[in-house]
Amino acid sequence: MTGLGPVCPFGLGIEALATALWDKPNRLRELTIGKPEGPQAAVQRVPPFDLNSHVKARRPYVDPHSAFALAAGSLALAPSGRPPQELDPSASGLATGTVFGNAASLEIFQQSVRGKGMRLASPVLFQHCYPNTTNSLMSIEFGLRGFNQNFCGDPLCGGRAIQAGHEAVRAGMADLMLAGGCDALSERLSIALRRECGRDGPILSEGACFLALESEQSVRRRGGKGVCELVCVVSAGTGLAARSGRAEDQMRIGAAIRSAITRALSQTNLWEGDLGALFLAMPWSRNDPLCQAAKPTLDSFSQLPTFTADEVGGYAFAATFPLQCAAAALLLNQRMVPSPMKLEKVERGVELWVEQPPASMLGTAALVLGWSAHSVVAAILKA
Amino acid sequence: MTDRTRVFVTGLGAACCLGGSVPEFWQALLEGRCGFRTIDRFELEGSPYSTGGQVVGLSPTPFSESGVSMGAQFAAHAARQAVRDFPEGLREGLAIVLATNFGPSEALEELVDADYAPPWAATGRLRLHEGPFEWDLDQVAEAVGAGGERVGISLSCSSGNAAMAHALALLRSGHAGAVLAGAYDSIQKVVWAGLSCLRVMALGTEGRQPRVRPFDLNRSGTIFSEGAGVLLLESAEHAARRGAVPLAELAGASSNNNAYHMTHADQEGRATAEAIQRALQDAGIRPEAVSYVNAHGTGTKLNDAIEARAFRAVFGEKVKDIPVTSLKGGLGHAMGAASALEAVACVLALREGLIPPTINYETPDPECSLNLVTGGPRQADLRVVLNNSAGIGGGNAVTVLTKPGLAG
Repeated sequence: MTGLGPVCPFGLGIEALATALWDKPNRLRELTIGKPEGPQAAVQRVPPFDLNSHVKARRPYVDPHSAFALAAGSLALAPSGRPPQELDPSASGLATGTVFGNAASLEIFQQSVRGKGMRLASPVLFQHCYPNTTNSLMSIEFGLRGFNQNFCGDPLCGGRAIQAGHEAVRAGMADLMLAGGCDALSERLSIALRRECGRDGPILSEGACFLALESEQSVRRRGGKGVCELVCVVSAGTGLAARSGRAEDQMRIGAAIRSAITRALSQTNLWEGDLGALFLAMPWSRNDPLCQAAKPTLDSFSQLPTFTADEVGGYAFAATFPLQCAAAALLLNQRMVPSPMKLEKVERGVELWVEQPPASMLGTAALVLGWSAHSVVAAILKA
Repeated sequence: MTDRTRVFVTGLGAACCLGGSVPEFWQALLEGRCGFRTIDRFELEGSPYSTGGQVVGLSPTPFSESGVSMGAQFAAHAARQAVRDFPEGLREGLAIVLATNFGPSEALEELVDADYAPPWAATGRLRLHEGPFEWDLDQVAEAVGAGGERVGISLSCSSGNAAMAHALALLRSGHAGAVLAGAYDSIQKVVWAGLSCLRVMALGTEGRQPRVRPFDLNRSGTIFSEGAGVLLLESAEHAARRGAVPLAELAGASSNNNAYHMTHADQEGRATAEAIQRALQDAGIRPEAVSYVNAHGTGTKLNDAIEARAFRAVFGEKVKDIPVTSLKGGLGHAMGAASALEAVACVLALREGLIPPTINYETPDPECSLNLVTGGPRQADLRVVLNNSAGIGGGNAVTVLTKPGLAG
């Protein structure tokens, strides 16, 4: 990894992500617990920013989803240049992931079709409604003419984009891959998601995170420097065609998670003792069946500092797995990990958490893990 | 399992305006039939673009009634065909890679109309936080009992080839032994409004129904259709272990982006040519070994010319000798499903040694000087078939299919 481009509720760039990890981990929780349900409590928002400071092309309209991704891509590519210097554009590619795509634009377009009729639909707006619009705008902006893929599906698609990017570089299909995920939530979508997850559910947010992945030869050729190594990304199915809600489902999911971790470690010639931290690309919630399914496996890693999406800006859907990778990269670089906050007390629905001093990271690698009822994606990063 | 694991096509499925099964689809292509009719699924509000290729042979139910998008119904129908001979006992490990251009557009329409709180939300059957694309994947997986990982992809009109490219990567690197790869799309009102405002569709002239005329001098646009094409792909080892007979080999694939403009490629089709060259390199096959090219051939002025230039850039003088077809004259442009349906046709062409014709071709265009197959199907000893696709937003994806065991 030669560049990290996080865009999250704490702001844009590595400094903002570091803030999320080190300085104010309890800030989001204060905002979401104890407040009445309403738009301001629905999801954590990326703060407003000037897109023009991140892109060269001036466009009359850009969907928020595209804006997040363009900013994140720009930040990730900053170390290697835009377009990547001394690299053939056809050897520089892009892999993106999104759950909801350009939801805001689609809502506006649909409203205009309903209100004004089909014949007055706007072609400019429609072009911002495709699930691959953001991918295309990024390719054009950054001159990425190489390997390209765009994943749409459950929130693991951000992890799949990183897997595809990693594979493309490893297989020699690209010298540099910009890979990551993005989701921007319209006001109405965010309220509906909050309603579905419940007031006391996980912290929901939006954002983007892209990683610049380069081959070692490419980095050496341009005299660059890596932040850390993305050693492997594995994926697997859980064997469940449909959800039955039976206890066996949870056992299968747990077994699939264990199997993915084992496979990832064996591919990297690492063992569990080499891991210094665990990053869960999940909205961790004790009562969630998916989290319960993983608990037996994760208990065997209980000695590891563990970070859920809450600690990295909230659960940002397709951006979550890449954000966790970026967080892992930052901590591996510093060889320190924040200690978990200690819950001192709860008074009138407000939780008071107390900071603990940071600790040394004992291992040289980090595991990033995401799963659904059907699939598991696991990545290992090394200092 | 090595990175160069061979990957075979062992099952096919199709649903489109030319038929609800692979044999119907293939027969219609060989006969040069056209599947277009007046769209009757929603009120067209006086739109001049009233002709499209709606799926036949199925009676899809609206999402509002069934909770399943029509696109997913098409995909499930095609998927069932593709896995007909795949043992139930192996389906637990069967992965799915499905792509689409507009995906669950029906579901999205309903969600937006209802402020994301439709009446069925309270049942919890469809989880908003998993995303509507995942709902479609779930439907197809449940329909065929596939328990492997599920991957959704969207690369506009290149979606089908993009899905196969990703499936190929999963199989080669050992993440899966068998993958259902394909693509789907359905004609829905909001999407049709958008496609209409792009003004790329052909209009009827002089009392004639609109026609798609790929590479013809007087071509005037495309006509959109819908459907699903699905291929069952297996590693050679997996196929051999269960005694499956390969229909073809998926020897190579590539996908890239023009990085130029949202609506068209650069005039020389550089990135299109690069995508083709990379797919051939991936397959270990030289350009001169290609027996037949299935072109994207949408019938639009700009894109057909650019594609022809890209072919000339790749094949040089040999381009005159390589038969080329576009199926969109009769099949229409099935949006995300296009290159998947056309891949099904490529496999059948390889097996039967028959190239379906490009219909509605009357007047050559000097800008598109290709060895087009017209007038009827052409017999040929086919060994290597190239399936090209390009999409709005600049995404290109190419697959190379061969007779089993041929690729290097």
